[in-house]
Amino acid sequence: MILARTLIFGFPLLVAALAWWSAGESRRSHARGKDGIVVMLSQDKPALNPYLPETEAERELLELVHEPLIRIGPDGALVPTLAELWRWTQDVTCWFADEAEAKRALEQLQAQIGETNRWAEWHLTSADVVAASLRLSFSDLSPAGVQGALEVIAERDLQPAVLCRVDSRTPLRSAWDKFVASTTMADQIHRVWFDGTSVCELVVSGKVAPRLMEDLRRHLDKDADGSATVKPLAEVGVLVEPVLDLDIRPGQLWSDGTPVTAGDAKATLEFLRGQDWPIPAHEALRQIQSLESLNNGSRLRVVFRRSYGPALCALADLPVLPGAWLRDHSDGIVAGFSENPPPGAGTHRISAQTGRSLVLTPVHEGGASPRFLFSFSVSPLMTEIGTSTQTVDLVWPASAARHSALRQLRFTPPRQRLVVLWNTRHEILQNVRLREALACATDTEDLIRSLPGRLGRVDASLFAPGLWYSTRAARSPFELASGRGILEEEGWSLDGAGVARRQDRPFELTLLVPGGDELHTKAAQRLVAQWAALGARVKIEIVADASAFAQRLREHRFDAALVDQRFEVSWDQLPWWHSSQAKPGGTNFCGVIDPQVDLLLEALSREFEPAHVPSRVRELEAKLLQLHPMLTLFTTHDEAAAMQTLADGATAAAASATWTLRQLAVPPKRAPAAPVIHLQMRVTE
Amino acid sequence: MITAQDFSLPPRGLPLRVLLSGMAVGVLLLLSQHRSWDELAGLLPSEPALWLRSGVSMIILIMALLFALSTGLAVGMLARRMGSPAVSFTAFLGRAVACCPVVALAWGFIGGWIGHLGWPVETLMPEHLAAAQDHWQATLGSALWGVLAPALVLAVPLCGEVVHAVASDARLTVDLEFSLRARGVPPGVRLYRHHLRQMLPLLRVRMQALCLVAPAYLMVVEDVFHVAGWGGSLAEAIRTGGVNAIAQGFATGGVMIALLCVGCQMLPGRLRRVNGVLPALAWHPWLLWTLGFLALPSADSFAALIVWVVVLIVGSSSWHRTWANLESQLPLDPSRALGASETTIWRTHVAVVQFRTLVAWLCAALAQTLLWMAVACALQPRLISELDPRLAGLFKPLSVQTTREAAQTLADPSALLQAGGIIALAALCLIQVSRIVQPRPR
Repeated sequence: MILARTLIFGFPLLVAALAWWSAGESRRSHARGKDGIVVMLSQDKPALNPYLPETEAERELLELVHEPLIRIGPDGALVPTLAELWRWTQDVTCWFADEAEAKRALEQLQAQIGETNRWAEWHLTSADVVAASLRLSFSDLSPAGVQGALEVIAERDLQPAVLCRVDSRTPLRSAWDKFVASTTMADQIHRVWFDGTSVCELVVSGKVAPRLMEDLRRHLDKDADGSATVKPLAEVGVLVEPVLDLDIRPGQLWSDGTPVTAGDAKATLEFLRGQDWPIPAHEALRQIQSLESLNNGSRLRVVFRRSYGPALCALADLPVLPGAWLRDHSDGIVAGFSENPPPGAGTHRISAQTGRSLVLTPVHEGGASPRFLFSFSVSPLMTEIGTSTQTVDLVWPASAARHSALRQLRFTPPRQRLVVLWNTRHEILQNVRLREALACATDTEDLIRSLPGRLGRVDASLFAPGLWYSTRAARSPFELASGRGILEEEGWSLDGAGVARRQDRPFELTLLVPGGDELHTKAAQRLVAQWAALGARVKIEIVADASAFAQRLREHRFDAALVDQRFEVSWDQLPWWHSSQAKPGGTNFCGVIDPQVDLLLEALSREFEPAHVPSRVRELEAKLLQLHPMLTLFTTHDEAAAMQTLADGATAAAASATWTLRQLAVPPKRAPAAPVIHLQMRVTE
Repeated sequence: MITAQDFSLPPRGLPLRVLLSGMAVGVLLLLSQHRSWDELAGLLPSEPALWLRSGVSMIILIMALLFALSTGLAVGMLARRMGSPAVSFTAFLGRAVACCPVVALAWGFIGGWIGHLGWPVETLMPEHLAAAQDHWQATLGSALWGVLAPALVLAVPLCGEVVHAVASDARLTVDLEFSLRARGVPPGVRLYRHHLRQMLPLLRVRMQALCLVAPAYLMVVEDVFHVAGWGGSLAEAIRTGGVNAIAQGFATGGVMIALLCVGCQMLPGRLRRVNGVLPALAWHPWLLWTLGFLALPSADSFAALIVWVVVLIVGSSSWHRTWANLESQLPLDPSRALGASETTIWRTHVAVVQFRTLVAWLCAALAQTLLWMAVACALQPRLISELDPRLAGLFKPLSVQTTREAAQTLADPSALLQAGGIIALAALCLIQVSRIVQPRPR
């Protein structure tokens, strides 16, 4: 009886006690301290390609794992990261008939190191004879020193160098290798530069150049099935090549403990040059002539083909990967990024991953950096449970979380903005005053209020915001009356239907809109409504195919186009506004042709010194923005919901400020003070 | 009882019958869908993972059944000790609890526990960073709570059934109260030795009846709690119409129920097994099979009718026994002896009783149909569209189809609880009407 009674009453009590205890333990195990941050993402697990992040979350995740040589710091300046120092120099190579002649030229130059030391005046640091050539290294990029040195040796028998271009419809590499192995004039080929697989450029010196080109043509006719062309581009007396030297910071380690070397950076840049990925650094990487790891891997030497000042920007925020990993995964790099991620030099390493989650652990355990757990493809139910039980710290995007559960919204930095490009050759839009009127009639505040998503205000600048050279150029304020006034001044008056007309010609144009994005469509509809108030009758044409849209832009077959402008660090604006790119097929879509602007663009493109960029940028914008070639609308931001666990006084005070995961990983109090870099060129020892 | 209004005895060899019938129904389902012999051969899963899932479900079922049995007995015994009114009230409470749709109970628990209190349910929790200092207690506690939470929710309706059974089946025992009291036996001994000894054989039969029903409830609970068990995978298969998985679920479910029935035989005391067609027909997991067969598209239009027929089949044995008991107490032979014609006898003594029994059966069947339709609609939301719009409106909140709906329900389960409450109230009213109308044998 006692046993029965004990069982009847004891079992429910035992189960209740067990349930109470286990629920308590479960609660305690989920109620973690601040040792980690759980991020829930509705997106699928990303491919983890550090060069092609598909989303802002993936980009920020990868920024924790990988480090670039140079980073854009919180204040928008270039901050040395893996590279401790960098400097620009230039190499000048001249060829002579023979080695003796080259040595005589060298002796002539060495004779200039006298009492006046003209080498210092020219910034000439070294001169070496290599076979029949003389290589001069200058620590300054100005042409004055080069000119002075060359004047001294001008009387010697300088051999001109010929730049040739080989175009083929088939891959050239194997045919080229065979030619080099077979020709007796191989020593006269001084530079070879492959642009992709089927185009290459050569630098050939001496009188044998025409014969070598003819031999090459014949060889390719035979080997490349007659599809290749060889043509001379130019003849130069000397070859001038800018050189970027980067000193790798000592003591930097990959997460597996091996040291970071210049060889790794070289392997990374070589790997990226071989890829056809649409990365911002693509154009600068194309201009690289050669890469060299020097001083036992402590210095990377990058030789460029031409004077391209913004080349430095190509390295900014460009992750460096271990050379050994790149070699081991040469057969399947892209798959390797997700299946066997490369070790990085960042603050965190990928310590575990499954098909739907990924754990980042600080490389230096015991520091202030937290661990991160990223859960992907998270359902709304999981998000709701996470927010209810406070076991999640961030929900990304914020729209995936219930708003009553949100403590704080965090906005990521803008990566792009929406702009309207005007075709300045359009019958109506060629009048700059009318473009100005349309700008006056555009109410961006209304767009930001009425359109979905988190949108930010923009200025009228051509350049990305938040960089050391950003100008914050003021955009035309919304003044419909001013816009109407301009129209009247230009002879356009409103008819009964509210459409502006001039000599019976209505103010009509078509707005080209890329398809597939609701934001674009809705923005276009709002713009049409706003411009209708001015008197402009605007039709929307949606082009669903991205390549067809790009083709329309290149061929200038549009009146106005709504375009996402991705922000880049580079200050080079030449491709977008220079008159040489205004012809069909060029990238000056707006068709701006202005000689003064061209000069300013060229000067900016040749600027190597980051500290000088702001003044040049201001000069350019002062001229170009007067032409109203485009209309900036708003930036787009990702929005994450931060839970109570992440809210603190500092973040609450700056709730609307942009924010990144890196700021969570390296708390500001413990983070090293952002160095103030004046970006002056270092004087060579 | 809600599942079987009155007591009925199981047939001989119940575990074996359930085991074989589970496989037979699985084969029948596959054959009806023109599946190949290879698929028939794979009816019982060969992968250890699937048996592991069944193992998890078995643990939850055993925990829930044991908890329901002990809690039901404890409450029933306490009520008996407090007197007759307490027994009646407790039985009513038991019926009320048993009438709650299990889907509403599960979502109600999750809504309160997670949504309101913000406390975790392991099986539903997103991935979390395991703390470096996690010790064995945390690991054990989390694992235990992962099983106990669904088991306790499943135990709630089962508790209601057992409480009702303990209270109502007491009248089937011999009342020794007076004689034991006269012999000076203490109250505790009278209750926990003499009365309990008589109750246990009856409870064994009740528990076996519950073993046929509990797996169907388990499907809903595992589905709502996202438990990686037999029920969760069968619910998913039913939702997606995966015939092979459903057939496999029937077969493995048969094995599980057979094992549970064998386990029930560990309870002391044994009642006489019965022969006959009706017990052999009724004592099968018909409702589990019905939920599976409703996954076939051809069954959509007749879902409610099918459930109603199945409920009638399940209850046929107990109602036949009830009627047999009633009929045996009617004064038929004395009337015949007095020369009354069969028509007069039927009109005078049988008709009213028969009619009242029939009405009671229909009311009880209707209540059960309502509750099982709630289960069916929770598992297969497409059935709702085939119902009368007013009924569809009632069942709609119970079907949480998408994760977004699930998140909304978690945040605010009031609509689901309201619908569940209305269904429970309607079922309880019908059960009470059935009990009022039904004539009692003396």
